[in-house]
Amino acid sequence: MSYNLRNKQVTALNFNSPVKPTWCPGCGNFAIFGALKSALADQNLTPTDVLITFDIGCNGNGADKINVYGFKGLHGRSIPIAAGAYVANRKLQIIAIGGDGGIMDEGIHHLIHAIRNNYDITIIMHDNENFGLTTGQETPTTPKNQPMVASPWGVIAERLNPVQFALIAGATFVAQGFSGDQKQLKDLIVAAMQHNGCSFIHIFQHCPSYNKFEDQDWFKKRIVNIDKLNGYDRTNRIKAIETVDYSNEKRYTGVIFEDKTALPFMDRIPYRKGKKSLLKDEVRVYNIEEILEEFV
Amino acid sequence: MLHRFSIKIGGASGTGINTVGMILSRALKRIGFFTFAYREYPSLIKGGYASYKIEFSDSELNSTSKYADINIAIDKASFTHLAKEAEASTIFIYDSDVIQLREDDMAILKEKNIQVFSLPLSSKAKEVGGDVIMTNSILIGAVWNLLGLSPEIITKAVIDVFNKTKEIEENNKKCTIAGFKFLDTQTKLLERFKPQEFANKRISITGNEAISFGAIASGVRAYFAYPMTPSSSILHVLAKYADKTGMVVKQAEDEITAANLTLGANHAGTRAMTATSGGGFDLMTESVSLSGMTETPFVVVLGQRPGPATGMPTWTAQSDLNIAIYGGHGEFPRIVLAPGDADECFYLTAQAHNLAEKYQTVVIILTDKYIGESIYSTDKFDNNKIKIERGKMLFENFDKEKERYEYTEDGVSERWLPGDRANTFIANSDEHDIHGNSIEDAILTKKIIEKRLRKEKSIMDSIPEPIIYGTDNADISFVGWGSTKHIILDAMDELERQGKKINFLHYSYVYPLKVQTLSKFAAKAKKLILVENNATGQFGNLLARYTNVKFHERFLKYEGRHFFVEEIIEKAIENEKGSKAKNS
Repeated sequence: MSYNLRNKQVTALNFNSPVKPTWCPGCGNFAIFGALKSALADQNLTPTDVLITFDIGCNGNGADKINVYGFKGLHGRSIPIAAGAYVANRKLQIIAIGGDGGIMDEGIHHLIHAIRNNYDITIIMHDNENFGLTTGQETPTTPKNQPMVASPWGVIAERLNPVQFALIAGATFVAQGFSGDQKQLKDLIVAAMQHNGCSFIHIFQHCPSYNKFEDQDWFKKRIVNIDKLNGYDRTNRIKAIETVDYSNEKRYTGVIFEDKTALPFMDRIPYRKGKKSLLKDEVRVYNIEEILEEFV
Repeated sequence: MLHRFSIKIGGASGTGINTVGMILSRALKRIGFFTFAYREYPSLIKGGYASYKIEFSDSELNSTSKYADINIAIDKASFTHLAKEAEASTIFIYDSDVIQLREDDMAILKEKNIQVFSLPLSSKAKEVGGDVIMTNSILIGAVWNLLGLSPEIITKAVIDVFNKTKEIEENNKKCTIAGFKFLDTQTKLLERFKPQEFANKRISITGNEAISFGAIASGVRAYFAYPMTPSSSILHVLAKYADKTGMVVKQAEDEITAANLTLGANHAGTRAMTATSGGGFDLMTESVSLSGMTETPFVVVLGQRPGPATGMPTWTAQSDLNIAIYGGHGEFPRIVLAPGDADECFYLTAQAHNLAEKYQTVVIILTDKYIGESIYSTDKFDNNKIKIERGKMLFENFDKEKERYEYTEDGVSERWLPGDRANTFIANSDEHDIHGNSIEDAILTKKIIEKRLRKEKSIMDSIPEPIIYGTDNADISFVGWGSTKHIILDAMDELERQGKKINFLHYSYVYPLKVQTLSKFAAKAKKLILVENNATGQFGNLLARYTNVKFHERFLKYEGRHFFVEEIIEKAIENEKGSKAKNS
């Protein structure tokens, strides 16, 4: 899909739904969904071009607050629904949305295998570092030792770094953003959707209700645009892993890594090379006479 | 004596007994016999004791018997098993190069008046200039000669299978011919049969292969699955033919992924499918619930094996009917099919996709190891009988204001696809309104639950009644479902030859449950016997939930094995004797 700012026919308003948001005042989701709607409009997409799959959680409560084709699946499972839809119709613009609970906990293996298979979808992870909708339990992205409602003595498990995790799984596009910079988020979403393969965007999301430990202000002091990092090579996977490590004071935002050479899943299937049709248009009776001859 | 002939070959897994069995079956079929084959094997890769049983007759047969006219042992482990099983006055062949018998081994066989042939298979193979691995061809030739059948047919069958290189073909052909010289023909063995040399159009095919080809024929374009016995062969077959069919065949990373990939692909408008066994289906039940809620078509094959938990991976049972019917939380309509043979595996798979799209819900195809891996001989499936029915799918020129989940009279709303220039909608796992927006409102909740459940009546009106086989004035009446179909039908053939009056009601559509035919059948039945391959009578319990039908007896088998024809015959005779005693 060509990204053409000059021929704007739709605006972000087209993607508004009549349903009022139910997020807490100040929730990072307002900015994230705002960025998402603008990103879609900027690419001249109409609501019917887009399929967004949602997880369960505060992110998922955005499912009916945006006007697109939506699929709100089961907790932790927005990614495989998106992947299956891509296999059936790779012309669709497909985005899988989830939170740190759904993507890094319940459904973490779906993330790994979607990345390995390089399905041409965009995965957007809303990381507020807790299970918001179920009132504030820890997730794998909660800082170690942080007291949470179901672990008041503090988190005792090691913390996972989603960008590092995605890089090690072999991701071909990884970006990191922050709900305090909506404009940058919009640009990252556009870049991710334009990437030919599985894109992963990790968004540090402000959560006024349950995350006072790494909130918007905490991030504002540490966020640095990675483009400002001298000589940073975004095609170097190992360097990317080192750069985003949480032992660093800074939190880098922007496109952290990209590999433009890797083929997406459907293009890797050797016997479908050159086949232009979409699976959804291939449903008809097939003649198995010839195959059955082998069983005579 | 059953009107069939059977040969059982035992050996370690990985030593080619399946190939021996397959070649003999094919050749017998080409002569004009109806054949059926069943394999048993332990859960390992090499070694252990595995067996291949071929049954054949000049009349239709689709079941296994306990009895073997000829037992063949190619190693000591199989010798020990088969010697114990072998019945009186049968034939026993063993590989004397590999098996050194002791006195007590021979004594067991002598006691039962068994005719023993010892064949030094590998020495013979070497003598002829073949390889030790060609001992199987020697064996094939020997057995074929014993049966008194024409050499050309068996040699052709051997070459058809061992067609890797000209040299391999030639060597195996040599060995087959050498094998011929081993055993003298026992001319009386097959004299009671009259094979009809019909044209070579019959196929030898397993239930799983039939399901695979039914999927291909009915426009399934994506298959996602995690390997699990006994359903893995569907994945392998579809992968084997993927370059011919263009189907996307993806080994998913676990069952939950397989189910969700299938749902996502179906949601976006293709036909996709998955298959698993009981344990894998447990993992998928959440996705079954998701299918019901979002009204996304979902076809899943559940190949049963004994449970619970890991159970016995390579054995058979009918003990997952309950999870097929009740698995998946919440209340929503579903359809459960239980094919009874390879034909039904083919046609019901196609029908499953039509039903899933017509009613926008989940259709479960219940099979088991017995039907999935048995090799049926049947007429070629008729492509012309396959119809694609996509239900209320809208393709073009439709009202753009329409909402996806409208409250219709039959419960089924019109459906279109993401990407279509139409009203958007949300397929929502939350309870939702007609657009798919999440709701918690009392009135709307009730309204949409009723809409979804209204589909049940529509489904019930469209599926067929079960089928009655046999005579009207029967003394014994059987009721069964799924894979027991032909075991009971073949037993009926034998019983009818003995002048007995038997009938049988067989269900291939097990849920929703049709009860009209059953009620009439049961009312007329003198002795009603339920036949099921499980310990708790799950189908009987389903019937008890919806009807007042009372069974005289529940004949249940739960040893990880299917019913043998003899067991059904004995059960009928036993019950007949009982009636006679009562009436005298």
